[in-house]
Amino acid sequence: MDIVELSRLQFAVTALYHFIFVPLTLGLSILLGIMETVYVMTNKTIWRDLTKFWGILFGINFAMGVATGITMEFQFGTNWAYYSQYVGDVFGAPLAIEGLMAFFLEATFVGLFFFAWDRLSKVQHLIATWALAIGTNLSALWILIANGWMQYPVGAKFNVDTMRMEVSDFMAVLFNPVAQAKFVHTVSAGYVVGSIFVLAISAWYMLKGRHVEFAKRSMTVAASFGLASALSVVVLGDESGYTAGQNQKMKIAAIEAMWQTEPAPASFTVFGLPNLKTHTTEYEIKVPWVLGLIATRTADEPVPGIEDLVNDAYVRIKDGLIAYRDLLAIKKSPRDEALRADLEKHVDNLGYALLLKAQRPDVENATDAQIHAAAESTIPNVPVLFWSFRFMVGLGFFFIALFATAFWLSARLRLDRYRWFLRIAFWSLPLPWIAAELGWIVAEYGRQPWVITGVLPTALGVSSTATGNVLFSLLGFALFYSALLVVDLYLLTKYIRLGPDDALSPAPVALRAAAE
Amino acid sequence: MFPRALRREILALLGLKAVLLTVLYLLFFSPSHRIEPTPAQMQSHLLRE
Repeated sequence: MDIVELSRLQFAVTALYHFIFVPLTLGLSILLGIMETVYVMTNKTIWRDLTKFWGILFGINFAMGVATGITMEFQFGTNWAYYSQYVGDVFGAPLAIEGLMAFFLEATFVGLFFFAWDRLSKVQHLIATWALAIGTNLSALWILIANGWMQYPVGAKFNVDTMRMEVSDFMAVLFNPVAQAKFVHTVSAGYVVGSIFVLAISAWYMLKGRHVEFAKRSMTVAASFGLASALSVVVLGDESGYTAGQNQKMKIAAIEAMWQTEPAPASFTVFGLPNLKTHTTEYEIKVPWVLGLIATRTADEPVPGIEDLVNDAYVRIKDGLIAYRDLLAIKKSPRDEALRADLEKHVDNLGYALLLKAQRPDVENATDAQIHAAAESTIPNVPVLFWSFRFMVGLGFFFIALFATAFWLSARLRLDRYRWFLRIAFWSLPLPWIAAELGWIVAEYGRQPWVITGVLPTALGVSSTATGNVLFSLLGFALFYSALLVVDLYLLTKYIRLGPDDALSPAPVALRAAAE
Repeated sequence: MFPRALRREILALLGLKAVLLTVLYLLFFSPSHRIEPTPAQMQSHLLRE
């Protein structure tokens, strides 16, 4: 493995690991707000106990999320120095705002949530809990604005003097449609994770006949909030599909394993076996119209296939080469205005010319065969995207069915009658995490070979550091994160087994242990 | 919104946190501790050396 692959692997491992904790934090924070609101409205102490108990599990998860998130931010400096230099002016702002928000807004209200039950009135504590939930979700917004810009870089211009991308319109970065669609889709997925977490553990209590009243109320909240969230994930995922269809056409074509452009409206492939050698998808089962409607929201606009998009990339690389040659000339004659004006005309495709760096160092002398090879390199890993997307969507529809059943049973006060359903709910516990991780694989793997779509190839963003350094830190992360996971699972299972009565009153537990 | 004593405590803690983060930044992450590619290095990285 070279430095690029190792750095990518390290970022992927740490990002996927970090995202084990993030969606649960997002989901549980809102559920805590709902439960405490019911407590303040009804004054029934069982709702305060519910908030406190799920709050303990939230706290364990929150701490892990913070610890694993910090390492992600450091990697931009250590492993991705050229990336940070090239796009730091744009990418750095939302990342910094997120850091400030997490360290000050979120952290303050986390403190109040845990330690101010006796120091604040009920309403004041409720405000602190909702502020925690809102702060948590706002942190996600800033991260996704940064990530959305990597997918669809708007509001920035290349500056030939500083040799980097600089913000030209911060509002365009802020209201980037890709970022907004990703934000609502991702937080909704987090709400599903939180709801299934509560649903599954409550189902386990009911199967064991423990804390039944507590579990019933928890399941009722999780079922209704989860159903709304699961439906939102699908609807807002459709919005993500539309924005990708407009701005990341190659990603959509790869997700669909659509090698050739289909006449409008394009059909959606439910099943198929993508063949990379023949550029075909075997044993396809297609649903007419669906892809055309998702990706274009029209019935008369075609969705371009991979081969046509490769041809587009070929044209853009040739255009980008003009910008590249202009840059070389400007290096020798920095004050030549004619060269600068010509660069301005072609600079949008400069990133495409940089794809040729993988073919040869003297890009300006690239042969036609090398330009073709660079254009081919814009195809991401089709089978991985094709299957990740289908498993994710399949799980999304399963969650709707699960929550709809739970909602129906809770509305009819029959949650404890059907043990088969409680077993399904319990064993569904890992599924939302699988769906969330697959979602990130589709989003980020589908962006390859770009670190910033159309602007900077991933290979050019990596720091000039020794392979051994990255290998060492990767192994360190693997060991440290494995240990953290063991601690996390130990603490979560410990408090879940204790249950709300014992977890909320440690003294009786300690006394019982002493007596034994 | 919150009781005065708690407000004071929160403000003091936030102030302390801001100071600690600034010290942490100055000690380990300020420009003198970073290796940032210069525009010239960026140029030779992206263009032919």
